Amino acid sequence: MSNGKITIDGQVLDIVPGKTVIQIANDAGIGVQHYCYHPGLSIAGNCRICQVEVEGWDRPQISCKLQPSDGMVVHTQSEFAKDAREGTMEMLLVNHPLDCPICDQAGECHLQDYSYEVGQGAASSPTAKTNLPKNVPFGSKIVYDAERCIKCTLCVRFCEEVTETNELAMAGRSDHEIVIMTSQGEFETPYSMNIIDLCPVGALTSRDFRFKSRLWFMDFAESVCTGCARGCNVMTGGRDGSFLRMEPRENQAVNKWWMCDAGRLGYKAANVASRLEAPLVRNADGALVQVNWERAISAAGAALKGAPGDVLIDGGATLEEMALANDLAAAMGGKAKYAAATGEGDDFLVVAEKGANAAGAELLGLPRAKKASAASVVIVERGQHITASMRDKSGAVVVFAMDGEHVPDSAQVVFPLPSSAERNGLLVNCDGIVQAISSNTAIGPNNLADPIELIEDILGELDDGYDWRGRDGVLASIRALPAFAKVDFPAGYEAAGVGAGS
Amino acid sequence: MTAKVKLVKRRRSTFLDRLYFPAIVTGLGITFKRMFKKKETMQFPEERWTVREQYRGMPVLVEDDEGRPKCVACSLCEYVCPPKAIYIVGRELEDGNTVERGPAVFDLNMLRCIYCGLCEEACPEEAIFMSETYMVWGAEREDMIFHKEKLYELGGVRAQGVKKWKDK
Ligand code: SF4
Ligand code: SF4
Ligand code: FES
Repeated sequence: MSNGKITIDGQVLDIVPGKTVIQIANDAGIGVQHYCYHPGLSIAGNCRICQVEVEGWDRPQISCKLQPSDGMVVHTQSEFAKDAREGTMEMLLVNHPLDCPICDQAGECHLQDYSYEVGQGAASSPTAKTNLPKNVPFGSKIVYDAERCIKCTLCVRFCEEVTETNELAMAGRSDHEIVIMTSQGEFETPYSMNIIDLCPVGALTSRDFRFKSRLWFMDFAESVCTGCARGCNVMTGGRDGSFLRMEPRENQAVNKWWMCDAGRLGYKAANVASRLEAPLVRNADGALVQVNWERAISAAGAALKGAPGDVLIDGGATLEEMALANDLAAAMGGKAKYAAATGEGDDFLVVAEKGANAAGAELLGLPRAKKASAASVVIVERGQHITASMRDKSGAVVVFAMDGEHVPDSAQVVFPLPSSAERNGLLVNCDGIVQAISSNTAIGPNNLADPIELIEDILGELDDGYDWRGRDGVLASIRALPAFAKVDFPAGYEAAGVGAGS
Repeated sequence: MTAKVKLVKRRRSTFLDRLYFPAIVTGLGITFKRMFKKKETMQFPEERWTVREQYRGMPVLVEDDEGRPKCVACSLCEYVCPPKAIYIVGRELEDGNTVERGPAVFDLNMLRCIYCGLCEEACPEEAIFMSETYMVWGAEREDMIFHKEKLYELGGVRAQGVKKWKDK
């Protein structure tokens, strides 16, 4: 049974029960400006920027709350609708401080974007702007600025509806209305920083990212958080080799729109001062010295040849890396195993399994190393998976590490490992969903070799008949495994060129 | 086609020419005569050109009349600068400062600056100005990178202009 039709900007669209006009329009690719509407929260309808014209009605209507009815004709771009929105913009800007030069939101501010679009140069209100509290700490991670706030209540609704912890509330009235914390101190929820992304303006900004870089100098890449096995989809942002921030990306099957604070702030491991930037080989005096890649590869080959040994790989390594670790172990007559930490989980996103690709390792048939044991090769990205005692007791001669602090004394050859924000590859999350991490070239030291190439080169040293497969070949051999027969790979992963070569 | 070539015989130097002395005397004569005439050029560096206020010399940073450094490290000048002569790192100002943000590092590389004035034009705070300074030198490359302190020293105070943080 049809629910009737609605016409928006000339397009005749089906009415979907439970969807308001803005949702039907968005689904059809008709963008309607909105601030207080968010698909993951209840509808408040208080900012009034989403107003549209409905034929036969003499007042503009807010499309976020408007229930469609059969035969309704809506115009989003008519003079009447535009006029209504322009007026709303002017109202929103009456007390807005125009802090853009100091505001971290500049460049990703919806208010800024829309002002730019409808561009009204002057305000008609003769009164001075109100002064409200600025630079107010909301816990230790968030800074609130009441002057910039447009009172859309998205942040309040998030704490009410998503985390159900109610840390925020609206207080005051009229142009003295502000958001307050209902209790002193920290946020109870470990998901508090999501309100920074939700806030359409710069009223809520991150203490951690504060003033670190202007947005337009940064490069962003779509990736996956490796903080736990949930694998929340994220955007990584960096500049000049530094990893500056991470924010969630929508994926309804995994993290919806959110991510936890610990994951978001977990990027710092890529910025440590002890990051390894070049391959090292132990010389006759017992010191690790920098060499070029060729020397390091042949030294690794020489160190591993003829000595049976295992490979211990990080539970956050990619499927491709794990599959090659398996091949490397086979070439040495040993086996590959992975290590991953476990910790606390909750009933929302965070899971107890911390190995971002532990499920992938299980699919590949790698056993889980629970305690320290001997291994010739150790591939360690995050120190908490392959712990200090596991590294030191392994007696590993070839080590892939991100952080110089993670190199055991037994290492003869050390390869610098790019962080998960600098590598490409696939991870399998706790629900068996395969997701791609992708490299952000603005993060990390320059010219780090892809570990996939390095492991293949070492395999070439060990076996004269080794046939280099490249990332595509490795991926093809993973897909051919019976355990992966029913596993869906991200659409377009190879086609997008991420899988091609490296 | 064969080119027509006409050979010109060169006059050989005479004995007097080869002495050079008469030529030197003539030359010095002209110099002496000029010394007592009105000078046509400016006697730089003793004498210096006074430039107008609108002159587009080296960019500098200024303070307002209350002694507040005006730059808020918005980095718009860094963004707009065509030869990438400006490098800024922002920082949070001390507690209670209502401006909240200022530069921790403000480096201006005068080996790169092309004196285009776009930084001055882009600045929303009227904090950077093309000054009257047209003599910029350094013995080493390092000397040509001007840091924040030096830029404020050169800029001094500009009383007029926007002061939008005053009432915060
Ligand atoms: S702080 Fe941001 S999200 Fe919260 S009400 Fe104000 S504008 Fe909306
Ligand atoms: S544009 Fe002006 S306020 Fe912004 S960083 Fe440059 S000098 Fe400072
Ligand atoms: S988005 Fe509809 S009223 Fe705010």
